[in-house]
Amino acid sequence: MSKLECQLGKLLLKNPVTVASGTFGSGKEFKDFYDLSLLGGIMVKGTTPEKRVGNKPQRLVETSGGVINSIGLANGGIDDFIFNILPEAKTYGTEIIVNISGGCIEEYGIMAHKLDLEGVGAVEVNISCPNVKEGGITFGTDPEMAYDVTKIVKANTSKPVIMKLSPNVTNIAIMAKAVESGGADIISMINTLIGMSIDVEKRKPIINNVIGGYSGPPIKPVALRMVYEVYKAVNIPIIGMGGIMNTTDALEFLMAGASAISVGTGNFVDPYIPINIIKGLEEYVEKNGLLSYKEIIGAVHR
Amino acid sequence: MIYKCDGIVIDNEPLIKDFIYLMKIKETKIAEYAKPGQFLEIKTGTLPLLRKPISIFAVDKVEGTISILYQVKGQGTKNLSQFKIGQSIDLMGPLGNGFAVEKFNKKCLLIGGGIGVAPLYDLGLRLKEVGNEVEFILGFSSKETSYAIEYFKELGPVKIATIDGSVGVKGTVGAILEDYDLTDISKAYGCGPEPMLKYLKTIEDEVDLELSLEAYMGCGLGACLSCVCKMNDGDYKRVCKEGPVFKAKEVSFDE
Repeated sequence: MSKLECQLGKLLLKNPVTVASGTFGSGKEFKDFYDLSLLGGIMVKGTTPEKRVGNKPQRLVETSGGVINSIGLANGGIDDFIFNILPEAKTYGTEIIVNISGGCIEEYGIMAHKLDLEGVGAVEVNISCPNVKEGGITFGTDPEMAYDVTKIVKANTSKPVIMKLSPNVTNIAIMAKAVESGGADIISMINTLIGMSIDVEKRKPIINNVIGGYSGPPIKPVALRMVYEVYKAVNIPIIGMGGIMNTTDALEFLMAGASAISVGTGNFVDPYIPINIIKGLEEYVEKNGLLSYKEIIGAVHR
Repeated sequence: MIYKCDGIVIDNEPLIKDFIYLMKIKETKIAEYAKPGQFLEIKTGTLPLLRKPISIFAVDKVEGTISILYQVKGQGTKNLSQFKIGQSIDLMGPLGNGFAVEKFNKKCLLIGGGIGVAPLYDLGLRLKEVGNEVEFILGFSSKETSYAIEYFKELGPVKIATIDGSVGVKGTVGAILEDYDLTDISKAYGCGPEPMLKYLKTIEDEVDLELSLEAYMGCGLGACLSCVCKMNDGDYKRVCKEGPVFKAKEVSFDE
């Protein structure tokens, strides 16, 4: 057994390194760089019940060492995903984790049901998109609604259910407990922090949608602290993410309590970051004489 | 095929100090596959975090080099201007679709504004290689801020417009185009600031026209969906993937 083999409840990954939804397309966009089967899993770009054209540009800006985006869940809709994207994605030899967003609780159930298909490794439920008017983040800030969304998704799929938490809450442990009691198998965290940037010449927000989700290296300390808090609050595994750029960052998340990690914005900077982290973790495990990387999960809590 | 590789800077000269630079990079693989109108994503330093998309100005497939003509605008391009000869430079490319190059019956007209002239040199060269005659209309703000004109003159006749009239015709490229006989032209290409591209759309019914668009990019690979532009059917397309070159009739600059 590989020392990086990663068991997240009933979801088995060949290693704990995945790529975050919205930063990796469906995988196709990165195929030229490396064999995608090296990855633990791919969280594909978020899908919705119907096609969405997305927000009016400007949709993205770099600021203070990180990136604000407001794409608005642009995608072809879930049927397009199932018929036009999934058939290719499932040949990549890695777990395909499908990220879903609904405008109401029922839509989450319908989508989960449609995705109960061969080739789907797990469903990641986005209850934390800051960039759409309806649904999205409201489900991620109210514990009762987060519980209800989790319940309905669980009732409609046999796949492992990953609930993706928003950091834009006062107490993230309460949200984590809510989705755990709703039956979530795994938590992924964090989604982006809501941010803003202003063009001082034009005296206008740079992002057309005014606000957007902030990601990249500057959010890492916040994400890490939240993983640390959630690890103490729940008994389900965590996929940690937020500004991970290298092996040290990944190790920090594992030690804070994540069982796996995702590279997000880092994919824009250097597509090889996930691969470098896999190698780096292998080296760390060897150097420290570990039987499995799992020995370091939550290390700072002991 | 897209490559991420370290090229070696073999020249990085200001054409106008602190403003316009021409950098030549040794990178055999990208040079081998690059087509006119494609671009590179360059990591210019620790910060900015994101790579900067820069048009390819010229390609020498024999010596395995790519040249970029760039304007210093923000931190990324400022960093670029400080690269020294012999330094390695982290590149991704070639990216995007590029211009259509084929043998046409009549002449090709290449229209550039400001730093938008950059991709037109390699385009002109390739169009000539396949047997076309090329002509250029280039717009700048003034004589002091005009550049690279001698390169274009190697390829064909060049008409210049400047906003202040200090060289060539006074006004934008439109001042030249309004008296231009387009019946002689099989194909036109445009690259420049959005007001110029909007103007060029007024001739889209008179001549087959391709436009190269600019947009703020995240990944340059088609993954982040940031750099979209509006199409006439109301949908968006990715400037980095389906573009940067579009048929003029496909795109819409309406709000």
